[in-house]
Amino acid sequence: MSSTHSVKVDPSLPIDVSIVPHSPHVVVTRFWVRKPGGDWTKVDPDGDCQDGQPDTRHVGPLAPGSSVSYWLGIGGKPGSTYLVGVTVGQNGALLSGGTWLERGDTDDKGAAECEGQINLS
Amino acid sequence: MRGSLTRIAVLALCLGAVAPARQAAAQVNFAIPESPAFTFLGLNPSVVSHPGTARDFMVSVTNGVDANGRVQQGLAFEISPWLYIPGASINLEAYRESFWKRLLANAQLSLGTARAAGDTGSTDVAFGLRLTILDESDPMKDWDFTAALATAMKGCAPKSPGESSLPCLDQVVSAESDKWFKQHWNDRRLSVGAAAGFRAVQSALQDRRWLGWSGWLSGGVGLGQWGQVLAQLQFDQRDSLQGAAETKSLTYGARVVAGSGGSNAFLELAGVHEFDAPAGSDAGSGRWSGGMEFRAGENLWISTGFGSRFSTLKQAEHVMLLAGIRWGFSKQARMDALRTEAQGWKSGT
Repeated sequence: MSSTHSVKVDPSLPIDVSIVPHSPHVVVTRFWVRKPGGDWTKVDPDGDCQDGQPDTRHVGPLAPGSSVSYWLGIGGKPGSTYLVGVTVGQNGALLSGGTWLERGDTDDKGAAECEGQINLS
Repeated sequence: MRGSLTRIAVLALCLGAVAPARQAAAQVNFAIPESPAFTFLGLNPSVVSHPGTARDFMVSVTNGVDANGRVQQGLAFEISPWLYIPGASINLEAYRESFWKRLLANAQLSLGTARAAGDTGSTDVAFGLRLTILDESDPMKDWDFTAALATAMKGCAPKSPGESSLPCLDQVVSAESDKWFKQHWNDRRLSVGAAAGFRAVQSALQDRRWLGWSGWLSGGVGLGQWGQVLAQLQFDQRDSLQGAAETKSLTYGARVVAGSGGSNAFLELAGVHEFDAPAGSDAGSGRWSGGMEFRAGENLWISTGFGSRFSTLKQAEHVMLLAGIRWGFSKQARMDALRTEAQGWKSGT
């Protein structure tokens, strides 16, 4: 499952991207950043929400035209629905259009993955 | 035995739906039906809808009823009701800490419709609920399990955006859960289920006849690491309809299995008691069976049993009669298949 989102940011401030689980699943995360005209660069370290708490990454400041990509690995009961919230903020405030819900089902082994791209303007 | 007592006799392990009263042979599944509504109707639908939102569910239901209020046959829905509560959130911490949130997260509602037996123009409608009261084999409650799972899953993260890691995730999730269930396959568990239904005469919802209801209670406890005791009760009540009398019956069963790497033993029994049975008829019936299986070689298990029914604990691949005793031959232990079934993430007990 893949989603794309556009968010307007202040290029002088760092960006906080939070992964917030809303269902009883283990969620592991990986982020990448791409500056205008550049390649994807991994953001260390990888994270997880195995205790149900949000996983927040601080990236940037980034110029308009940059993108942030995230991959979520989900594990839990087979055939169960996962709900994972994504929020984008700066300076402690949520940005306009900066919250959405990733939703899907784990397969018969209990695994799922989901990815998204946040285009900054 | 008559009246309130029933004969205890052989139970055949049967994985099909439990049918209502007046069964010549008690059939106990030792698991709450995954979808009680479908079991109530005697259905095993090949396609089950899982509407993800309340809106999707309402659209599906209204599509199943025409403008004249007639309900379609063959509808089958399963939903997790908590997903329909706006803003509801049950993360792992809440799932572990709160019994009620765990109960809600694991609750399953089912709804089905089927052609009425003996009356093709009418439609039977049933709705059901399944609740897991206790499941100590649930790995998502265990911090150590979820920590180990997270560590393993991180190893699957893709190198670049756009790459899929699902095969890797499948492998690690399977490996971690297999490891968990080897130690927890027979942990304590308790589940309940219920279903009820009505008949829409000529499929018209405004002309309803109550069909009855069924209830299930199923639980299990472990015997060390080597065995398990399972028990189940099922109550069925069916209203009198089209000249048939009202029926009420209680089906019950218990199973004990125990074993080690090279040999297993089992004992099963079940009975059915019919309330208000007509005078002169037998109010109860039942069966029992027991047996052993042992490893005779590579990919060779030999089993034998006693009781009024031999075919239990999974049918052996080959059965022969020798010296008046039935012997079964299989490539794997039949009890291993039971252990695998006990890993009921989804269906529980």
